[in-house]
Amino acid sequence: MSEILLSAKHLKKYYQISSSTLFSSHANRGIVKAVDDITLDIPRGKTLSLVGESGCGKSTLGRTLINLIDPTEGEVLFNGKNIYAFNAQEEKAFRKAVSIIFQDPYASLNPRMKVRDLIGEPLLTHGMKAKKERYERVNELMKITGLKAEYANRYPHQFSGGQRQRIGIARALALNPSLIVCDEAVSALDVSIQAQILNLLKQLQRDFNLTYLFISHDLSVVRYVSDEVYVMYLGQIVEAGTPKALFEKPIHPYTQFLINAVPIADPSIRDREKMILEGDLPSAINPPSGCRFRTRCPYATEICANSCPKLITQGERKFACHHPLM
Amino acid sequence: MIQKTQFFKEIALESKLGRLTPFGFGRKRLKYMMSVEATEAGKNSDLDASKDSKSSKSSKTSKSSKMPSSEQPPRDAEDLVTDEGFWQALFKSIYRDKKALVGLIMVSLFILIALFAPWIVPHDPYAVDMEKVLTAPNKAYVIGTDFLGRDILSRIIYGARISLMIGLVPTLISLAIGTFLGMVSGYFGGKVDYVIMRLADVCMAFPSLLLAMVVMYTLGASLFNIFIALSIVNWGSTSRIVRAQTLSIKEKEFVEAARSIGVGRFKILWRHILPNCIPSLIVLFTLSVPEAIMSEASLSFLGVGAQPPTPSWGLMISRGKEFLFSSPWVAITPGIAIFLVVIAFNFIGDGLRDALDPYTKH
Repeated sequence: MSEILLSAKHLKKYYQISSSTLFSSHANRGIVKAVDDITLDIPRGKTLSLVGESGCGKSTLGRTLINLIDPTEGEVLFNGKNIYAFNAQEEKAFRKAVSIIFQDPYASLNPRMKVRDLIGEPLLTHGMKAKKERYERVNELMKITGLKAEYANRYPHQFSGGQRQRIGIARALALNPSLIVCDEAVSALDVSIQAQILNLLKQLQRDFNLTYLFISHDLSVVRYVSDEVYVMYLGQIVEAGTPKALFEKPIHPYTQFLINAVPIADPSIRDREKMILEGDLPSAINPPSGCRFRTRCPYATEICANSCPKLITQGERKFACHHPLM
Repeated sequence: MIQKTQFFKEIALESKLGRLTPFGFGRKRLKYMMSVEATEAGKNSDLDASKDSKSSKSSKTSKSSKMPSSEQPPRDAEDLVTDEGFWQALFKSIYRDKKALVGLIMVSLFILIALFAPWIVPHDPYAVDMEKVLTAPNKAYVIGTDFLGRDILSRIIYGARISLMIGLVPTLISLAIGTFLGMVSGYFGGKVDYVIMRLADVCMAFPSLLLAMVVMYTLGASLFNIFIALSIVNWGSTSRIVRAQTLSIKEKEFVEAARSIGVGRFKILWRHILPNCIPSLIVLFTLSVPEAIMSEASLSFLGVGAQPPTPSWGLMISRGKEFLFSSPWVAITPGIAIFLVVIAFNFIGDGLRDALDPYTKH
């Protein structure tokens, strides 16, 4: 096992649902457990993926891990030090070492800034004040991400989605970070552009020994890029393992449903009966007792309602289920 | 040299096609037209050729469709994007909106008159001539004289300077204060937000003219104090609007991206929030200018604003109202001036609001 870059210990993020009316301010309507007691390790130079349905807390977890959102409880260790207890100087160094690529390339770039200022902003913030030096580095970054240098003077609205995502990647790479959080980084793009961006990310990982936290709901993408996959359901991790093991022999019923939901490109087996998950994710405000998946699980029994399964480690794999598919 | 001749050629062609616009927006369109014409011409020649042999048609059309790409370096599909910037689009839509265009012309005229007042006045606006008291409009005094025999036209022209100053200075000051407090309030939230918003509430709770009058009574009536009074009165609504904008902008991902980089909070306000508030600030500004001009006129009319012999429009109406029946031109003409300037600014403001509102965009 390689060196651990970032590790989360019992990380929790709860949102208080409060509504202040005229007569009662902050009446408690409940608590949303967006991230509920998550422990994970991200090894250096690897890609760790988080998958799950929309609203399961993937993005919240990703943002909490790099201290864009304050956690309710727990700690995150970066190179062995708790990121929530950083002083100003350590905080600055941490900001330099991590970056994030967002899902929506239309919302993540300030429409009033030129490309070279967008990519140059991290450089400026971290002390590269000289214009000439900065623009040289911007040109270099644009070259790395496959953008033409003459685009530096343009505004984001003059680019297509794929190009904008490249700008976002160039910005994320500007400070030679060690960890990049890719929050649905390719979900908004066409399949052909997706492949380009994924290959770019992979190549950059090889060249600069980057570590990725890859957040996605697209299993085929996850399978392609990851070294390790964590499956999330309603703020908890239900299963983890290498993509090969996970996709070929899922242990948790939820993982199996997720894999079944991926469309198959082969028409000869398309009509095969598949078990598809029905209904929506239960409300995170009042999650089901015991195992959170039991309301949609065909294997659920009494024990599932009574006790919450713990995440068990078995060899390379982890799962949290009373009735594992083994 | 080559560029210059190219430019003249384009101008000539443009005027021939009737596409010459005052802002020169026709050029890009013309270039596009020319390229389309070129390809169509190519196609036509192909059609002529196809009369001889139909079989060769398909191969030739494919050649002609490749023609424009062989002139320019090949551009991938991702390059086909709009080149239209924010200001260009803004002026374009103002230009299309006839009402706003009229407003723009009137305001430009107003500003020019104010700037060049000393050179265009027919008489000295302060020169008292007791022999010509309340002269009716004639050739020498186009809109007559007032009760001290001063030329009203000259006084109105000089009054434009005061109105322009009143329209710009306090508006800019209150806009700056309101924008800063609104951004801080919206971005920082919590107690800061609470305190600033209650202050704004206090300012907005009073009728603005009443509050301005209170300030004027306390500070004493003078033109300079009007600046202060109007700045204090008007920042509240600006801060509310900017706060609302900030609340929506700060949730955007590019602000989060800036935070993830480690950009300081005030730098985020300056670099990311403020530039995205500019569209609403422009509208707010153009709609606040006439309001300030009206307020100054009201204050001066009530006697707590500009003091005689300053040629303020409001003061002129106030002094002229005694002669409203015998010599109506004394009070009515400055009223018309106020009306025209205010309506011109409102035209522009409405046009800008339509142009910048994403919901009314076509």
